[in-house]
Amino acid sequence: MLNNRTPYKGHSWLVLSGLALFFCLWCLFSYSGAVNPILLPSPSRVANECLRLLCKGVLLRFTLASMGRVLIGWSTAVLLAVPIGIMIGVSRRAAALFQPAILFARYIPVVALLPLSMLYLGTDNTQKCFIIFLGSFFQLVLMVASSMQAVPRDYVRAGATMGMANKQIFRHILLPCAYPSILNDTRITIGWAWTYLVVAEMAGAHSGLGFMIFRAQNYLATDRIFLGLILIGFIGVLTDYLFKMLIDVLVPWKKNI
Amino acid sequence: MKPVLQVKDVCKTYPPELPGGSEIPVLRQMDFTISRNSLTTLLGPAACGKSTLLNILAGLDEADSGTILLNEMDIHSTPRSRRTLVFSSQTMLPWLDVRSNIELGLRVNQVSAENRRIRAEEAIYQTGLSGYEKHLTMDLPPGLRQLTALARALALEPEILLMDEPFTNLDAQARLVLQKRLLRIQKEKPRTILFTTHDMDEAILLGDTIHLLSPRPGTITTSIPVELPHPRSHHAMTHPTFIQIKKQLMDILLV
Repeated sequence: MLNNRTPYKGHSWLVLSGLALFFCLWCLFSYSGAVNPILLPSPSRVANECLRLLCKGVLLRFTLASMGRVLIGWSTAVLLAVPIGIMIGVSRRAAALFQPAILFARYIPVVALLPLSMLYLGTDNTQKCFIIFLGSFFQLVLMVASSMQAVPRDYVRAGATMGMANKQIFRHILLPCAYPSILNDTRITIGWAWTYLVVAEMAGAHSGLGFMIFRAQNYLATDRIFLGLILIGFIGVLTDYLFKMLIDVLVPWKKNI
Repeated sequence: MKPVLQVKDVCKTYPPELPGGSEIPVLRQMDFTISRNSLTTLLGPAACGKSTLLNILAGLDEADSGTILLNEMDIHSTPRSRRTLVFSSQTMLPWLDVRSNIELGLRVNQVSAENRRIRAEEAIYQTGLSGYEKHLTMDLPPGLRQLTALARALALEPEILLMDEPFTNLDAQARLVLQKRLLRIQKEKPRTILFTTHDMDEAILLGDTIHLLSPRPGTITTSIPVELPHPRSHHAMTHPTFIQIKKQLMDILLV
């Protein structure tokens, strides 16, 4: 707690044990027959299903389809939300113009927008990406704005006493100071993008991991549901890890704070 | 000789913090002058308006009334970088190393790369930071960080250097080292400095003149010239003049 710069360092056996414990519990409940195999498929059945779908080529196609949607929806959100968030964070006028509307929009559940989105855009990829965009955009704008506002006032005052004009304070103080936390905001948002992917694939989809999960429900194919959940979790952890490495490389000075 | 800085009848009142609250007068009829290449200390308790005055002089705040002349011109005609302020808090930018922190002020003021290098080099030498140029400031102890702040200000070659309790947040030992460094800088290349502190010893040791401030609203109650010989070191603290001034200050403060 006192020294959590690199939380897992030197604890790789704990990380493994934590995951192993989870796995062992799963094995225990499924192989012992304590839980109905229809409700809780065994790890070997999930692995089997994984192999079967891999051989058919469906699994790779679905995974890539979902990843593509997440990537397009999320990166459109980043491209638009970061500049708008920065504007809200530094300018009172921009805040007055955008913030109330965005606060309002943020509280509309994205699931409730599914029917409208399908009415407007149909059920193709555009609609899926749009749902992911809606889910990440509004949150990200507000996070970026608050990252900009979190720049210590003393740094701004220091800039002013060095003779910086507002533009220079923005360029030399505000942006470089907020940049690491903005990167982190986008990292957190990509997790939400995966949540909204499943929302988007709930209805009117013909491919994707979310689609696979919902379709499997009709056939009581819980092994396939488990496979989908595990895959999404795995991709999430991997993305997060890559992002953290990227942040460490891009902003080495942030590590020691 | 004409004074560098003339502060005449400066007043400042802050609006109430809460609606219906009362106004907070911080400065009342501040009046003093500073002559070239001397170090003036403003000695006063916490929250007596010292920082407000320095913020006004640095162009980070505005006075309600009064006149401030720098080199006999209205202070607003001098750019903020030429009356730069050293803060008591940590204001080094953590993503830049020592040298880039020092050069940033010069960069935004369109100093050529060649001159930037020369001026930063000189400031680094004067503050004794040689060898730390490539360190990120957050890897340095607070004393060296505050020296970087001083170097950043010196490199700007200000008409008047404002120092707002620069050593207050340092540990006692670092404070001694920085006081010694400032005395040495004043010996080698004297500058016009206005220095605030609530430490009596520091005010006497560093100052050529001490202005004693009242509690809020701050105004100068007593001014004492410090006739200690230059160059000074901490040994001056046992000098009869030092002790006599300290006694005089205590008599005023402990009434």
